[in-house]
Amino acid sequence: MAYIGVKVKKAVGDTVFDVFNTIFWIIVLIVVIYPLWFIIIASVSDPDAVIAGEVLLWPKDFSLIGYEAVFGHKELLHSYLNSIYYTLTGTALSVIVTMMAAYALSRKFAGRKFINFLFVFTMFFSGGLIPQFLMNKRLGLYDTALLMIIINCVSVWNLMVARTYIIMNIPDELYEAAIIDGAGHFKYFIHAVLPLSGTIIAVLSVYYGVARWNDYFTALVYIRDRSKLPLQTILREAVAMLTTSTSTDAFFSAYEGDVKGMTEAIRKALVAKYCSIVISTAPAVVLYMFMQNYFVKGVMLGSLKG
Amino acid sequence: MKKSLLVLLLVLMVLTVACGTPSVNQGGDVTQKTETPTTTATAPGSDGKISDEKITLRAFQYVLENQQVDFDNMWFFQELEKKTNIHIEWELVKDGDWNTKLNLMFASGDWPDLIIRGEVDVEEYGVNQKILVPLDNYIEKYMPNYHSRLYLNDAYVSIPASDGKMYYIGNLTAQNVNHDGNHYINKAWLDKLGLDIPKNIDELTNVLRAFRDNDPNGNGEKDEIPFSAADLVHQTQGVYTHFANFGVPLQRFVYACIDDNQKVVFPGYMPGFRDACEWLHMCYKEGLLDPESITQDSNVWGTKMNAGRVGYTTYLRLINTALTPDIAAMYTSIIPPASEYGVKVPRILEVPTLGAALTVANKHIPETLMWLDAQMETETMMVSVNGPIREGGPIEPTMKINDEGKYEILYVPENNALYKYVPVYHGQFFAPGDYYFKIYEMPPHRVERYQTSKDYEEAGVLEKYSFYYLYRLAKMSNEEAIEVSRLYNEIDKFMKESITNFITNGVTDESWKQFLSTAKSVGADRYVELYQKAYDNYLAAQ
Amino acid sequence: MNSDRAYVNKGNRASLFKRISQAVRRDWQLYVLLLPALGFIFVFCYLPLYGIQIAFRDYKAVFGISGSQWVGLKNFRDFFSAYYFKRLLSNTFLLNIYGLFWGFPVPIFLAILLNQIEWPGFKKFTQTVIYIPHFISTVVMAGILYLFLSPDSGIVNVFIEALGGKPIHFMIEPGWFRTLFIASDIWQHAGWNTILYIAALTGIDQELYEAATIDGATKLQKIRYIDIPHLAPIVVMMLILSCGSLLVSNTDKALLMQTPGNMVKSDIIGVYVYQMGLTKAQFSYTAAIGLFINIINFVMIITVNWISKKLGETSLF
Repeated sequence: MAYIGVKVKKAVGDTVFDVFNTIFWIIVLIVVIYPLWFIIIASVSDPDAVIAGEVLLWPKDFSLIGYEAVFGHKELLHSYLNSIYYTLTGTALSVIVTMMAAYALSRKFAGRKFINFLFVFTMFFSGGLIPQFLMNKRLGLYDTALLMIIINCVSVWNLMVARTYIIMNIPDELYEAAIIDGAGHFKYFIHAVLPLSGTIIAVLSVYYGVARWNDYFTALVYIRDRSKLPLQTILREAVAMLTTSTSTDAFFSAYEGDVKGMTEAIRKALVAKYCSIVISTAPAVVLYMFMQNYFVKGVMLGSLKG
Repeated sequence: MKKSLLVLLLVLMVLTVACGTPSVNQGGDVTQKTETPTTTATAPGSDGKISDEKITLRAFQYVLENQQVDFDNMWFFQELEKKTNIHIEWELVKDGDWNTKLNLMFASGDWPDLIIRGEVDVEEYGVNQKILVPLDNYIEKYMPNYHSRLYLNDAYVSIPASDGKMYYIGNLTAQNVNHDGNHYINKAWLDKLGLDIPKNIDELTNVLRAFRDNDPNGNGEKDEIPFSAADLVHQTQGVYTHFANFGVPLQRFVYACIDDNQKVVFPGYMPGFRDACEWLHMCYKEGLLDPESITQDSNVWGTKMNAGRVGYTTYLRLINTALTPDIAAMYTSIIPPASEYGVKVPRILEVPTLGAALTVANKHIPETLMWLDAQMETETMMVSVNGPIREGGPIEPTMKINDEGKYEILYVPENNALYKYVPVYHGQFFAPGDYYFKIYEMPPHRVERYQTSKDYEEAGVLEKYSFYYLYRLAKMSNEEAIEVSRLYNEIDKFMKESITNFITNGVTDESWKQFLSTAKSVGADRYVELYQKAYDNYLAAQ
Repeated sequence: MNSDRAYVNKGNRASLFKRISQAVRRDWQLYVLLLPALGFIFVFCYLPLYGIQIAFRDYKAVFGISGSQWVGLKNFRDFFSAYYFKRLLSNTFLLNIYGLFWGFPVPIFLAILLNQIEWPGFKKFTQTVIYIPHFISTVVMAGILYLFLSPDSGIVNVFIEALGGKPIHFMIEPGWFRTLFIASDIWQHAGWNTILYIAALTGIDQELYEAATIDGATKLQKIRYIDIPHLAPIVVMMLILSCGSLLVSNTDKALLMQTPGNMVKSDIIGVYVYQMGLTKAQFSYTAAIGLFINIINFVMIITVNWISKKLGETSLF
């Protein structure tokens, strides 16, 4: 009887917890979703209504001029493909290189501290943009797709995180057992570490992938040939942050006499920024949903160990 | 740890030596170019060809952020290439990326032949580093069109750098205007309430109160904004423009102005400054001044304007701006209502911006200049901005020559279509006021600005000596320029902060004393001193 | 582990050359695995490092980096004697300290609670939704803040007025700046930052939970005794890494959110550097400021790492 009593009491405690947890998450979801919803409805509303604060729950004076402005950019599709290419290849390279280094750093060997230090040092000290630019130019990487793929290949932050994960989750006994079986580091890394690291590989892919997808600065500095530009650079142009330059004389001179063209340009710019968020985020979200399965697999792999 | 650091330092030192040495020469060979023009090029033949052989030049071209342009396939440049036999390889750089890319370009040592439009620090890259070519000795010989206008209306005066040399070809669209922020009042509201145009600050205050209380837009709601501005410092509709009513010609470009005795003064020290802040605070407190005036951008301001909610404001002009025509029709230009300190609107001068600059990498200086000058031949220049004048172009002629022999606009292609065919804002243009009026039938929006300028001049409400003497004409040595730019940064912050604080919280004797003492420690006196010196030098040179 | 120690002890007596050759022979595969990553940082980080000299020179493009005039510590002195230096430093530091204090625990908290959701559909949906704000650009984020918080028509003030309050001018009152900056950062990135912790939680052996259930542990107890200890090393690692960026902030966002009203609090080093570049390109001056910040950050991370090591927790090296 006592045993059952305890059981019931505990179930009640967990139920209370679950109720509160669910309420908590519903509140979080509302707080997160509303501004996202706002971006979507603002992107299809009349710009003046957005600015006047009249767009609250539903689109007002439905209009697609923002999307017209962005899709009207003839280089959009091409840049989309470029971005996908850079992101996929660059991320794959980054993840492989990072995992290799992370595994090595998780073991003890001569010079490990020093090498660790070498990595961490680069998080803080860099030569700055000018010498980097000069060197990439000298290496012949200026204006090449290769540069877009290999630059920022290793993030020390991600490397340290991956290293910690491997130390945490892959038991030393496994390594000792493998060594007794006569396996070297290569074999152990490929056959034991990688299969057990599904989760961290997924995390690294997401981190690296998103960083690459959102990066516009690299292309701004290093890419001249417009056919190599990635999506974010094109979106930045399409959105054209007019807010600071409007109504100066220079701005009006640019539209000598074309009032309609000018007011349209202003109106478009006001909503195009919302459209660009929708356009650039959609594929990332889809990609993530695909990746999410790996997180679930990570659970299964995790339970295999030990 | 210590060991690691030591080893690392060693490695670094080795690297510094290894990588540093070759970069000594990376700036490219900057052997001083002879400044006397080489006479390899002959003057353009009757066919307009500059060179018999095709010459290719690399141009670093500034482009407005909001325009999609394709210079390679632009009708205007295709025609120009046929005529001159000069081919251009364009590198188009957008507005927002200009500074980053320009600096990297200079640093890389891989310099283009010419830089077109945009802003370039001429003192630094011309006088100091000698990457830009001084053009004085070439202009008369190779640029007859440009040279013939350069000295009209004293248009050239701001071009020479501190060493007296001209490092760039100017770009100027003058229309004889003298100020940016023009004061406008909602005439429709005044008429409805039976009020007169306010002549002084007290009348203005009463008008604003009437706007607030009497529902002039007649919708039964209290949504009127009697007085609105955008973005505190904006040169045409910022809060700064309203200091003019108190005899303080405050603007954001330099925090110094020249008084009637040609002494440079700090605006914060001017007698009307405190009263201006107090009046603005009163407006803020009473709900006359739009509380968002300090933070909102021009777009938000424009939305309020176009909703017919605003009574009094400043702006560039009414016709052909972000205002819809029926809204613009409600407003009328007024002389700024005066306080006891008199009115002083900041006076602007029409000085050229950078049209083109040549770098020492250019091997065809005369040809390049002739190519630029070909674009400044009157008809070509008008076409480059307004579209074709003759049949056979890519679109129907947009201009004609009227009975008075002036160029007149027939129509403006919609949706910025002009940018597909001609460079418009991105090309070469040099038209001092008198010349421009002679050749061009001014469209209404230009006439409007000319008219308001004349009104303000006649009413005597402009500052006597323009701040442009300090901002653009007076030159400083590079060290002083850096000192001034750092001081500017601090003073700009200090002024924005203080003015906002005064407007929202009012001015007390305590906070005013604080203001004066901080102005001193932030370097306002040194700032004024540097400008006084530069201005004195300028006057001495005249 | 034992073999490692034995090797090190033996190596102490051998000559350096011998030690290196021994180490290489024994662990050459590890060095090979490290090679690509080391190669990348060597080429892209260490080779351009000679550019640090810019901070000690008066850089002129035409003379190149090592040809420009050497000015020693002048650029640093100039920065320290800038009128607003103290304010810049404290604003930057406080913004980050508060940001770390409020922002750091949130993703851990969220990850643990998310892990407890039992309905898989709801869990998946929630997980996806909380990641999305991360993708919003800074420009739009700031734009939304201005729109929602406008004293004229913003939804927040409409709400406040409906409840009988007076509209608050959020963007002009200095007191609101840090709150808004940090709160919007949390809104935007806390969800995204759960990724790592959720991944760590999925690594927990399911048998542990099952055993705990049989022992009659409540959910709260499982969190306390299984989840939190398991997360500890990664949390410590993240904390150490975060302490290395206490003088670095999102400059774009600060610029966009800065108004003349809140400058007393929003004037931070990144914004100052940006404004310096606007009027006149001052490479050496801004490079010196950057170097100064990084030295402080570096000292900070080394210190925190040292403390962590002393306490027997995870460390960087």
